Amino acid sequence: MRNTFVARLVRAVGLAAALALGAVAAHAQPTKLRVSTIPIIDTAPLQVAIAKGFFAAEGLEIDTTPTAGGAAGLPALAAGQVQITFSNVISVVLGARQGLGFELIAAGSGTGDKLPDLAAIVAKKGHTFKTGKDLEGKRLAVNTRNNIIWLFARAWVQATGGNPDAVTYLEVPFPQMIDAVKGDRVDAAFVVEPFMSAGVNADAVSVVGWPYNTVQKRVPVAQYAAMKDFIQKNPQVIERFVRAYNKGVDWANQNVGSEEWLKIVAAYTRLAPEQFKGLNLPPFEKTVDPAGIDQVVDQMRKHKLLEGAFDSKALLYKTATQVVR
Amino acid sequence: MSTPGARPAPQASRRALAVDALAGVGTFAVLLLSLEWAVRTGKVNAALIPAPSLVAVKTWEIVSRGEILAPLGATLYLLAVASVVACALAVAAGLLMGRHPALHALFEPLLEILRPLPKPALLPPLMLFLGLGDAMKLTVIGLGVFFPTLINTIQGVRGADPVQIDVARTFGHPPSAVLLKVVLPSALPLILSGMRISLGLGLVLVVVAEMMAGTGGVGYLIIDMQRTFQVARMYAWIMVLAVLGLLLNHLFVRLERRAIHWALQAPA
Repeated sequence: MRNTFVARLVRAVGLAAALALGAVAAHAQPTKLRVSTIPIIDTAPLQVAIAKGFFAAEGLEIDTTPTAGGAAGLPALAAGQVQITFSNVISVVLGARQGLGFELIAAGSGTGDKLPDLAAIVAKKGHTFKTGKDLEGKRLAVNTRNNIIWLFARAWVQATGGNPDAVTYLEVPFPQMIDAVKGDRVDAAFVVEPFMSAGVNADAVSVVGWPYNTVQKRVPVAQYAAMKDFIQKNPQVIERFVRAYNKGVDWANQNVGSEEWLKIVAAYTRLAPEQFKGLNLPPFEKTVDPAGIDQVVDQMRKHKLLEGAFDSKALLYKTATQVVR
Repeated sequence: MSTPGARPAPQASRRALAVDALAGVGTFAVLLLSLEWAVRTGKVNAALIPAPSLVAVKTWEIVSRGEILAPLGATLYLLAVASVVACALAVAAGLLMGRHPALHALFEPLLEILRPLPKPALLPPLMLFLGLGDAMKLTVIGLGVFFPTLINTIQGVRGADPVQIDVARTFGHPPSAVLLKVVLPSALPLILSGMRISLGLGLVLVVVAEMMAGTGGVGYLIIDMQRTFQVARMYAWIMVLAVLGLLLNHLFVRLERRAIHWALQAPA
């Protein structure tokens, strides 16, 4: 009896000491955040903020996990494997609708009022495709189905006089799309920057159409999402993340095309800087416009991805609509 | 299987079997009920793990509305075509390699390198050569199916009774007749058990191939439902696959019993 009592006492004291030490250490050590990303131009501000030490300045250590895109990062978010996921808006809406508790914490990428967009449908140089009608019966590469690329590919086919159900959508990861077009494994591809520029610069492909701009102006393509629970428990961490990310946005917008910018993008997309020289981009935003999401949700209804009402505002955490200072 | 010589009384063994079956089903039922309870009381997140009753309802919807037909057809088509072609080739190659030591020596090292290679590893290179369509999927499934049947055929052929072969020869049968009438039947039990392993592997590969580059099929739908977060329907399609695997195996065992009933009979 005595023995166990003493043992318990020792253990309790030890535990208390360890907890106290842990608390002290937690303040000194940076907070680790695992972030699921896609190696495309859309995530440039995040990569800039990592490379330029903006996250480190906020006491955050970012560990990125790349995925092929679409919804791949969201199950990891739901399972708690990552704390923040870069994802296209459609997958987030679908998940939120099923009660998975996703919220958007920061803007990611989008398009502007005028061209160029950050993605286009391309085909092998010398092609004769002009409209969606021309793509009927053809194979079009999308990174994943049921995401924004797939939806806007369909919407573009329809908007330019084609039947979206008459096109075969094949899943090909963005970095392999140009090779798939060159090797005739697909007839066309809805490819995103910087792979699009790399393909055009190499004289391998030319643009067929600009689905985003044709269908909708200012498309909120993708954002950063976190779980509602995590946000509620760690509002400070989220704020620090978004503040650092927004610094990345400013830097990316001011330094597009600079030597350092090329180097950062080349590193995470595994392209050589000269491959995507001359790349043109709409500026990165710091906030998400709920009206834009509503328009995308309307498109989702049209293409039977969603039924019934959806509250876009409930999806947006405050850091996504007001600039964090 | 009962061991020869020490066969238990039939009634006692039947009772023991019934008790075993009941215990197995009971475990299954208890697991399902505890999961149902855990979901309904909110112990687990219903958005990630739906209640078994909900999965059952979704499975029924898929079946009763006929939604099951097209995807199941696509999956079975790939599995059937790849299996039939690969098994036929494997048996032919196995007969030749088993009968002719020179051929065996020629191809054995190649076989030993290719056989242990996990076939899904070939999906990325095959996509480059054959694209994303059925040709690629049929090839990878076929490759998976080919080897277990080939290996077992070679072993079966080599195990054929030399006395029987000699007798057939003595009675003037040409080599082709010896192969078809003596060697093949005696190798059949091993060939069929190889095919059963092949079938299991084929089902694995068809699902993997559909997940990697699918446009239809059950494997594609499982990953598609996951991406659109229709979790209950995702589990429903997994249920479809489980039942399919069970049925295919059951059918094959029945076929096997018919084809080689003489080899399966317990020794008197």
